[in-house]
Amino acid sequence: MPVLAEVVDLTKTFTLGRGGSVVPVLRGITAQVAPGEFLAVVGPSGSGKSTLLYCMSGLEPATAGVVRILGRTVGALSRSALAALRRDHVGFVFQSYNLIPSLSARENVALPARLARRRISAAEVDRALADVGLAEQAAHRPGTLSGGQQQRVAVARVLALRPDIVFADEPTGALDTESGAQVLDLLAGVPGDGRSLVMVTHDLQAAARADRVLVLRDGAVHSELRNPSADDVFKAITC
Amino acid sequence: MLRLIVSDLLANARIWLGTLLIATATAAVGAVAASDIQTAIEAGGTVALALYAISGVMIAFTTITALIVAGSVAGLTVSLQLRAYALWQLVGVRPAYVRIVVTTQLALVALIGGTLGCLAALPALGPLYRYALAESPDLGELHPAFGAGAAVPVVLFVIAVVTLAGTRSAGRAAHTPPIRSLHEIDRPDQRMNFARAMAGLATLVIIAGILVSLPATALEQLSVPLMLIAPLVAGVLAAFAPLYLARLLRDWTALVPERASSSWYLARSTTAFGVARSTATINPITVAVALAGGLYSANGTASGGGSVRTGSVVLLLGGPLLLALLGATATIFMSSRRRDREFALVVAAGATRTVVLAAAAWEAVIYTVTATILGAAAVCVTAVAGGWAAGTWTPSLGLGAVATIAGLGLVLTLAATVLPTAAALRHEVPQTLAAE
Repeated sequence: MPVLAEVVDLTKTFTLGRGGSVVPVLRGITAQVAPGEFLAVVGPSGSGKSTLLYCMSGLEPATAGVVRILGRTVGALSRSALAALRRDHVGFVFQSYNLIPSLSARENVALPARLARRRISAAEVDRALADVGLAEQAAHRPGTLSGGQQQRVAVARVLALRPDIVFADEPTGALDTESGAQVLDLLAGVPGDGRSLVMVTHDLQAAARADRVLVLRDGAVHSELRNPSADDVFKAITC
Repeated sequence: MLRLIVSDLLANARIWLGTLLIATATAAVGAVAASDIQTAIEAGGTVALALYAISGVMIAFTTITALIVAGSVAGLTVSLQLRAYALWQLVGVRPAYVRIVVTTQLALVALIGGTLGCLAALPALGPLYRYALAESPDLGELHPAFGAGAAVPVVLFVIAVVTLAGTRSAGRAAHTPPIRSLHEIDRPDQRMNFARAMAGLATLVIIAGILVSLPATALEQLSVPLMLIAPLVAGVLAAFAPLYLARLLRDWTALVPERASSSWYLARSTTAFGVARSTATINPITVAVALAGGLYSANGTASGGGSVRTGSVVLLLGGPLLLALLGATATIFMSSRRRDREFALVVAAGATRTVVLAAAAWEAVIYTVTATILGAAAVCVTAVAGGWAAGTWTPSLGLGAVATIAGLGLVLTLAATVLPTAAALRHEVPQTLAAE
């Protein structure tokens, strides 16, 4: 079965300070993301969830092991080739929204296409914003939008470009229940047509919507669940 | 309180180092003018008269530059830390206390910088005087004096300029609801206020006074009042910058179509949106262009194209020019952490390193060209006024000086934007984004 992204025996360590001790964060993880799949990554704080996401998406280099996106080995790519791969095939949604403050919602949505020198019409951008319920706020800058609205703009940015794989790091972590549910509904619509979603979350209900859940503990895969309920996820994390 | 002041200074070392550098440079430049006066008092006679004439222009140039540069830097120092001040308030620090802490920090850094600047100037005064006054038979052998009596007013001046300029921003930091500061990490606004308007209007009145006095001034003495006009106009432009600068930036940068380059598009939106940051960089370069262009324009117009002695230029303009260009560079350096974060966001959105580096370079170009437009406008006022007063229709525009300073400003701002960006690109995006 083809995979969109995979990590093989992935290890990541961080060094504390200059010449300080080496802290292992990921310890030999192997995982794949299939086309059309919604993969959730859960685990206690400090278990390495976000680091796995960043390594898998090519935002953070691995210390050891192999990371492949669309069959291309990330470690073998030059910085600009990796940037082009991310630009053309990968979308990101972070916990803290991460919109460009100087650009309006509309301009933020259009930015990846502009950077990729890909034509995206104003109608397509407006439709992406309308899909997330923010057609009226298209001209607003991020600073004038609520947290939930900013996150929906970030989702619209991803939806507009239709990347092959979307990585979301705690996308509902800073939102209230209603806004979180809206964002989750939007992201849950990504998988399909061969496109995949990888989402790190603390939210058991959100994880329960995934096709597959990886439970991380101490930087290793503790268990893997398929189509679990929220209770299943809770038990896997706590036992 | 002391613990809060010191720990905040250390945590935001990059910002405060920029403030310290400018306080030091302001004091060093001020020390040259103060030394000139003390030397004149001790020398007496015709030497004193000659030195008083020099010190008058020097003090005017230094004061205008210091007010603009140190003022811009102090304001930026506070505005870059609004998020931290909001967090202080959220853990229970009263707004009035925030203001006291910020003002104390500014005064402390100004005191240290002022003292360091005076100490740094001491060994440079002798060589500077010998070089600048070598062609003057009466002043060539002069030994500059600079004691505590001259140093204390310089340090007090630096403390006053930095603290007063930052106090308004400190008040704003204290009175802005903390949630708003946290929500809008990069507050773009730089509003016109009463103090700015008054400072601008007062400077306009001084310019008007100089203009009125010009027809009655002898041609050979015309260059001195004329050379004051351009920096004063730069002062007016700096004071009223919130009214027009964002519009000016947007308008002239629109000459390059947005579709032409992604990097230009990013640089344009960043500079036009972050007006507070852009102003802090543009104002010092504007005053540098106005100082140099104004001096050459005034001299060229009043003397019918006669040249200016290099020694005079170094003595009159060296310090203020150094301060202005250092100020522009320091403001970029101070806000580079914010720039790092913005570029990390752009990389996460799909930009390549080349696009990011080009955007940083375009930012420097936008700052310098905007400042050159404003500085050249100030020089034009000098040239037109000089032509009118001297009765000539061919006033000198000091184009060579304007171009030289603009080029120097471009090199320095390019270094200040591109080098830190290149260094920041070595870090991984998640690390940079997590640093806020």
